[in-house]
Amino acid sequence: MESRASLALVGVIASLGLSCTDDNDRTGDQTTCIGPNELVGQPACGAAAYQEDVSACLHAATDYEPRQLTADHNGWPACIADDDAWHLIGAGPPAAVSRSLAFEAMATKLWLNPCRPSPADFLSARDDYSTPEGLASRVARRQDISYPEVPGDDKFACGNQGIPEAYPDRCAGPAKLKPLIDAAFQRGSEAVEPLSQAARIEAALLWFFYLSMSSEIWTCGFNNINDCDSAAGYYTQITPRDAPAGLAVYVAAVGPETHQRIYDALLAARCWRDIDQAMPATPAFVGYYDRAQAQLAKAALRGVALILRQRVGEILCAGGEARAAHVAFVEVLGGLLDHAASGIAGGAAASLRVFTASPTADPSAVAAAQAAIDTIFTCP
Amino acid sequence: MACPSRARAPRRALLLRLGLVATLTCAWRAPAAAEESYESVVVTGPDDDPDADAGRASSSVDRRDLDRRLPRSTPDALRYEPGVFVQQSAHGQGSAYLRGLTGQQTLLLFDGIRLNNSTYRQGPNQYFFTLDAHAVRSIAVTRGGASTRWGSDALGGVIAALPLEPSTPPTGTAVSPRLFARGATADRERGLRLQLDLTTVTAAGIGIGFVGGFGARRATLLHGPPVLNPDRSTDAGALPWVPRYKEYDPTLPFDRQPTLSTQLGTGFDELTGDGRLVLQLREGERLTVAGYAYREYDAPRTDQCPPPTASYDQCLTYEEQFRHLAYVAWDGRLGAIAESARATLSWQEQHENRRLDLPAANLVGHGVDTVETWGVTLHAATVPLAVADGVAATLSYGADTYFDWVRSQARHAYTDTGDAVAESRGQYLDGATYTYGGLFTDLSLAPGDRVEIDGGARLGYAVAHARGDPASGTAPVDRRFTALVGHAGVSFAAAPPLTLLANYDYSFRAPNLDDMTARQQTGPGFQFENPRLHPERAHTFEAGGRLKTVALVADLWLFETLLVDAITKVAMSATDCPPSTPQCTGSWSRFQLQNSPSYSELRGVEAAARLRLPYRVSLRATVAYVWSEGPRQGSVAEGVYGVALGDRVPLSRTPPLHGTAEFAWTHASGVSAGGGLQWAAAQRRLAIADYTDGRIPKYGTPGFAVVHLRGAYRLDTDLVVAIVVENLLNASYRFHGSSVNGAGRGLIVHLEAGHWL
Repeated sequence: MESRASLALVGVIASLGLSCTDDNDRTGDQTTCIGPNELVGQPACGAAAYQEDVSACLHAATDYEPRQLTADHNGWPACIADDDAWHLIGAGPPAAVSRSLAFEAMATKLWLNPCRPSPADFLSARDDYSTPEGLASRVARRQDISYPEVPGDDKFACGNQGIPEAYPDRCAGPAKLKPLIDAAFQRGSEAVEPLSQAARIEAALLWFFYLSMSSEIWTCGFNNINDCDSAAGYYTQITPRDAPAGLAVYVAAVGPETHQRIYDALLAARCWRDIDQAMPATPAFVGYYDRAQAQLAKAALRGVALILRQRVGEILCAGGEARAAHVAFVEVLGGLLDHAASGIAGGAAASLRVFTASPTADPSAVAAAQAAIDTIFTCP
Repeated sequence: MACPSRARAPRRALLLRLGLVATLTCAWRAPAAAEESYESVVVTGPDDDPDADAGRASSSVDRRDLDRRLPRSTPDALRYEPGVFVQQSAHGQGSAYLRGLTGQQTLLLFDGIRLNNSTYRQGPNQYFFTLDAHAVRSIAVTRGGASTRWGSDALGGVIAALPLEPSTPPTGTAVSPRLFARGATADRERGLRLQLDLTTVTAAGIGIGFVGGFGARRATLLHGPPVLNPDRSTDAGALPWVPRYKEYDPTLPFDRQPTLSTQLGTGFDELTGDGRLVLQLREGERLTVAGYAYREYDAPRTDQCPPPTASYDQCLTYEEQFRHLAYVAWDGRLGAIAESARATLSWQEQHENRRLDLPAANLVGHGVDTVETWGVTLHAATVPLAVADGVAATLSYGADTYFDWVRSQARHAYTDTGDAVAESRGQYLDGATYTYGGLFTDLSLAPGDRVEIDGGARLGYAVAHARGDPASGTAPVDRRFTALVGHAGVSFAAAPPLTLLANYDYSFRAPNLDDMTARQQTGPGFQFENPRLHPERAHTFEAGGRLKTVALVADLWLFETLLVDAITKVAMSATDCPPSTPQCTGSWSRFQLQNSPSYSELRGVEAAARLRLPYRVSLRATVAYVWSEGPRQGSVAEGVYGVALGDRVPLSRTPPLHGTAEFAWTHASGVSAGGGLQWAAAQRRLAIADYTDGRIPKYGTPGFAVVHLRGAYRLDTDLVVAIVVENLLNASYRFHGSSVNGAGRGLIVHLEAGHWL
């Protein structure tokens, strides 16, 4: 699986072509490459290498595991997901898939662009990001459901004036991600540290996709049952588990079993909505929802942490602006991951926080940070 | 030259009234309108109104109805008409449903000139709002198909506004400056109009008349109590998605919210101007040169300000919504074969400048669409011809053609960087053209005193042309449509005062440029083009009875409309989106217009009655019901609220059972009083497209009853003061499919002052 995921990444890069005479302007002007992107085509980085081994991990007895169904299905009734495939609830693929595709399109113009991204690249990528009903619209309303809800009974309170500022943790999209992304686009359009701006956008959007999975499963219970499709769409564009896409490409490349566990958890949510098809969801079945969310939280957090782990290592292998880009990535994703890490292992999280707040190319500091990640996010 | 008496009109007026007879014979209107008794204006049907269609299910609103009801807009003026249901997607918009159809499936006319153009979209639109109610003399509503006379689009019916005419002076020359002022509390509306009425008539009856004016109006945020989801025990929440309220505190549970009243995404500004010059050349012949300008500014679309679940500051605003209309009309006689004839040459411009504020992306988008339409119409009617012993026949005939030229552009810019991007295409394809019209004839026979029969046919055509846009994956359009349609009807004075009527009508609507080229965010979701559509057709069967006595006038109609190849919104998958259209794949739901594989059906009943009582009191009531169904196309997930998911499903936004009641009393002193009741039952039969439409509460739209009180004082023609206490009981209400709730309790005040010099 790891090799397949890696191949997928390579394929994306290869699809860009090796030429630096890409179309850097959406108006169609052919512009020349303003310089190579040092992030692309780097040799394998030893410090970033990671071989996932979770053989010692024990899964919860209530986890949904369609890959290896036990006799009692770990307490899950038989459901539509038992065949280990995603069956759409809605009539067609959710819009989340197109947002994930937009992310990939942005990648080709920014962090996977073989040329150093130009202001025109940032503008073009921003158009991908800003499409009505696209990524920007969802970043601006995304909630981090690991935090308490905004008081009151408005499930979408974060869309109201003043609420993101008052509840920045719950309203993570508008309060944390949007300012990061907007600032990065703005500075990128001014040609200020373009690789770092691209890395910040990449890191923030990866966290957005992570948040979206659990958030969509939450709203799937009371707002729109199709939102469960969206959860899978945000993770992997609803591709089969052995053909990851979007965020799943990143996870599968560094933690193939973690990817499988995330896929299991998403299928758990699908199973829950097959067992309980009522809208809103039936309180009697909330236990299955809780199980699915817990399973997802554990696996998905580890998935994001492994991405961070890799980028921490990349700091040692790159120099110049490329290193600065890795640092920017680690600062953003590390900062976003801190709350969850602290909730799992406070001491190690503090150590990790010290590094991600101010990443350095000190090998011992890098190793310590990676060790902290391994300690906190041991199993998917 | 006086207006005709209100004697029973011949059935052939079915074809002629709206654009010919009424215009010709009412070239000048009487200035002393108040001379007629107040209650006489409470009309129920065509027998009371020369503008309505005698043989069809029809009604009309005249100037004095408007002065009494004080509607907020021209569409609003139709709310008391039987079978009419007015939906509002915004405070500054309004779209009338006729027999369950609206938008491009109904036809709007102004002085016999089509307002419909090739960019009229499926579902409600705002274009009737772009007629200034001050410039309207009357509005006639004909329910049911009417393509024979009026061509494409007239499937659900025709709404025909007639303009204000110069007054007939009491002496040879007269000038009347007038001031109209208006205010309303619910939206802090303030409006003013200055009008000049000037006429000179020679002893030989030749003269020049002019009436025109200009006005301005501003309305701010509309106040009205919130409509609640009828089933609050569920997690759909107490409040429907739209509108949002200024007072809303998201951190409080609903039962602890402050009083919610101020609806966000409402308000608008308006400028109007009009001038109508009429040259009375000789008896029975006149030349009219007229121009009308309507300009609405900064009118947010309520259901998109913000859209459901979006950030509070996202908004789609019509920064400019203009209609400019100019035309020359000749009315006259050309002998027996054209005892009455009319020719018009018109130019019209419909202009929209939409602004999308998307702070989530620090982006502002602009879409600018302008449609210019040139039109020529010719029609005439013979004198009654004796075709057999005791059988008279009148033949009317004509031709019309219109040409649309569409300009459409879109661009967006980022507010933080200033980067601006011109998009490859606008909502429509720039430079697209659409030519449409036809030839028609109609024969009316009167074999005896009790029976009238008529029938007619039209050969209609439409030609659409648009260049493709490879950058957005838009295919070119080069389509031609023809249609042969017709109608037949009979009226039988069975037992006077009872008349029985029956009609069959076969009408059509050719796919227009909106259907075949537009990409747009609509209420239910993103809609993309279908260049392969073919015309939709409507078979209308209707039967009615009309009772008319001195005290009571009543109409009852039953109808059945079968839509064949109906063009409906079909829910599509993201994989069906056209290439290079991320706003389609990204949308929560997507639609494409498609011809239905089998027939769709609308059937219903409409009734209206007016009772004149002693002491100058009159009562009027209407009721209408439409039931709709069509083949299920597309799908939504199982388990969603309210949506029927059988093989056949309700059509979108079908109005519920609804009705009105009015009473009026007037005194010889000029004092009058009255009241109105509007009510609607709940509409819980939702279509698939309705489910994703933020305008429609998830459990359907609750029923309501709302009461208005009216009072007025008229001092001859010099002074009119009218007051309406709207929504006396401060009821929560919303017309099904609307984004805005009805106005809360408040006052509307109208002042009119003028003098004949």
